[in-house]
Amino acid sequence: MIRVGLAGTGSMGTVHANAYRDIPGVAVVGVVGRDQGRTATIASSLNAHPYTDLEVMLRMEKPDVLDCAFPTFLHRTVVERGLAHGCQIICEKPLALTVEDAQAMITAARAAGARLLVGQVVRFFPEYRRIAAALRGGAVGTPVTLALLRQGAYPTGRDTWFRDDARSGGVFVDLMLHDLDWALTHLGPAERIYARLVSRREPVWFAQAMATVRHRSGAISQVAATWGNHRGFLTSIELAGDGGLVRHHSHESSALHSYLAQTPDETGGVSLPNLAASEDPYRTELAHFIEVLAGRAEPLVVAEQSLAALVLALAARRSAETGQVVSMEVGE
Amino acid sequence: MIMPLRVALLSAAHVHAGAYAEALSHIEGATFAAVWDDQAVRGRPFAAKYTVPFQPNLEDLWADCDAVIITAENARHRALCEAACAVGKHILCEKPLAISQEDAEAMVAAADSAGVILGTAFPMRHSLPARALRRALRAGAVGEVLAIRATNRGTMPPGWFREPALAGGGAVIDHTVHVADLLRWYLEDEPEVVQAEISHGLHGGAVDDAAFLTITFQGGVVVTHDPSWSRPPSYPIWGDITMEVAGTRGTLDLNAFSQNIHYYPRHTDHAAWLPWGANADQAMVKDFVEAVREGRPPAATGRDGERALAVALAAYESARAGRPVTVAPLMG
Repeated sequence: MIRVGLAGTGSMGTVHANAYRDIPGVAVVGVVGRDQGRTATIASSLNAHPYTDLEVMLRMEKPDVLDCAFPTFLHRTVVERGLAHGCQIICEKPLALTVEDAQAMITAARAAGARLLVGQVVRFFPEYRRIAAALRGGAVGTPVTLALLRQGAYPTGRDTWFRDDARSGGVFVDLMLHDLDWALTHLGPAERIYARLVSRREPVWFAQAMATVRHRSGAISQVAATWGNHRGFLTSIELAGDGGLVRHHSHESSALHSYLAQTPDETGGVSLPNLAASEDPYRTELAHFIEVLAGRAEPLVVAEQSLAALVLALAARRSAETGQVVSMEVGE
Repeated sequence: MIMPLRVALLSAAHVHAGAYAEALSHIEGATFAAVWDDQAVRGRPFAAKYTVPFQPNLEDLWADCDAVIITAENARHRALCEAACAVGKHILCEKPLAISQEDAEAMVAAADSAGVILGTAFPMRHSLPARALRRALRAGAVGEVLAIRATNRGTMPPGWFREPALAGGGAVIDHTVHVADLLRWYLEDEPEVVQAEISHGLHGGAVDDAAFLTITFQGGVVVTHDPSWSRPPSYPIWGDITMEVAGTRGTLDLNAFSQNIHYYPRHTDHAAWLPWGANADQAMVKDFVEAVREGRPPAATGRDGERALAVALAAYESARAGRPVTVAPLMG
C-alpha cells in the first residue's frame, strides 16, 4: 500500500482526491488545505486525516508520497518540504513559475533520490494518446505542421491567485504549457518561438495567447490558449505530415450533449449527473505515477520535459512582451 | 491463485469474433482456450492468428474449456447453445440471440435447466457514453422521458450476413437488437407495439438493408429507429449508435461512436475515423467472465437477448402485414 499525503483542496486537489479513491494500492492518509471545512470533507471522504499545516501532516503521517496540488507559486516550497521528509513527489503542472525554481526542484529531487512526477495530464487523455500512437505507427509519415488549441473559462482560484500572473504564470505558463509540452514531446526541441497575447480585464476577463514554434526537426507548430471563452472547455489538435493528416476536436467527439431547462421547478431542481463519457485522464495519470513509484513502470513524463515546456512557455511570454522572435538555445 | 476461466470461441463466422478473441487475450482471470469452426478454412487461420488450438470436432473441445462465446452464423446459435448446455458450459452468445422466437425461447430454457449462465453479447451496456446517458436518465436529468429518436446505421457486412437462411434477416435483425436492448435498459420498460417500413433498395440483395421502425413502449414512450446499412464503403467509420432523448426538462443527445480522431491518409482516397474511447467489447467479455466466476447473471442475459430479438421480429411481421404489431409477450 502506497501512502499519499495530498497537499491542496482546490480544483486540482479535489480532482486528485476523486481519482485516488479509484486507484488500487493507494491510501491517501493526510489532506492539507487552508479551508478547514473543505479539507475535512475531502479528508473524510478518503478516510484520511485533515491538516491545515503541511509540516504537521508530513511529520504526523510520514507519507511515502507527497502530492502537491497547491497553487503554482507555492510548488517549490511544498516540494522541498516533502523531499526533506523523504517523500516521493507528485506535482501538478506547471512545475514552477521560473526556470530557477524548476531546476532547483529537479536538483533537490535527484539529491534526495526521489522521483519528481509532474502532472502533464494531456499526455494521458485517450484522444491525445491515440494521436501519438498514430504518429508512432507511421500514419502521418514525417510530421510537418501541428496546430493545438485549448480554451476554457477564466479561472479564479482562492484569493484570485489565478488572475495574478505573478502567482499563476498567466495563460502562457498555466494553460499553453500543456500543448507546448505535447509539441516538444512529439515533434522535438524548439529552435524559436513567436507569440502574441490579447487580454482584457474590462468588461470581462479574457486572455488569448497565440504562438508559433519552429522545431529543430523543421516541423512547425501553432499553439493557441484562451482563458475566458464562452462555449465551454474545448481542445483541438491537428497534425499533418507527408503521409497523412490526423485531427481531433473535443466538441466533435463529445458523445453526450445536454440541453436542459434553465430553471428547476418547484421540486427543488435536479442535481446534475456526471456526464463523463470517457475514462478519467487524471485517474490514468495518477495510476501510472503510482505504478512508477511501486517500481512497476518507467515514467512517461520526466521532470526535465516539464522544465523544457516551462522554458518554452516563458520564451513565448517574452516574445509576446517584446514583439520579437525568441531563439532557443540548444538544450533548452 | 484462482484457475483462469478457459473460454473457447465457437466459430469465426461473425465479424465480432476478432474483437472477442482480442478481449480474451487481455483479460485477467480468463484464457482464450481454443477455436472451433465447422469450416476449417475459416477457423484454422483464425486460431493460428491468436496462437490457440483449432478444434474441428465439437465433442473434442469440451474437455478444454469452461465456457464458450458463440460467434457462429445467427441461424446456428441455437444448436451450438444447446450443445454447450448439454455439457454444462457457460455461454456468451453473439446478437441477435437467434433468428426466431422459438429458437430464442429454447436457448433460454436450455440454459435454465442446465444451470449454466447464458449472456447475450450487448457490448453497448458497457460503452462509457451509453452508460453516461443511462446515469443521467436515471438521475432524472431530462425529467420524464417522452420520446427517443435512435439510429444504429452501418455499412453492409460481408458474406453470410447477406444470406437469409443463415442470417435470419438483414439490417433490421442485425441493427435493431442493440438499440432495443439499450431502450429496455434505459427505460426499465418493455416495448409493446412496433411498426416498420422495410426496404432492400440500398444494395438490392436477398436481405433487407434499410428500414424505419417506430416502437411504442408500455409506459407510452415513443421511439423511432433507423437500423439501415446506409453507410457506403467510403464512410469514415463502420457506423453509429445515436439517441436523442427528449424529456419534460430538456434533451440529451448521445453519439456513442463520436470518440474518434479523424485520419486522412495521403495515399488512399478516403478518410478514416479511429476510435480512442474505452473498449466496450473487452468490458463486456470481462463482465461475462466475472459473472461466471461469481455465479451471477451477466449485464445482459439470454432473456434480454430474446426480448430484443422480439422487437426485430415484430418489425418484420409489421412490414409483412402492413400494420403495427404487438411484440411477442414475455414467456416464462
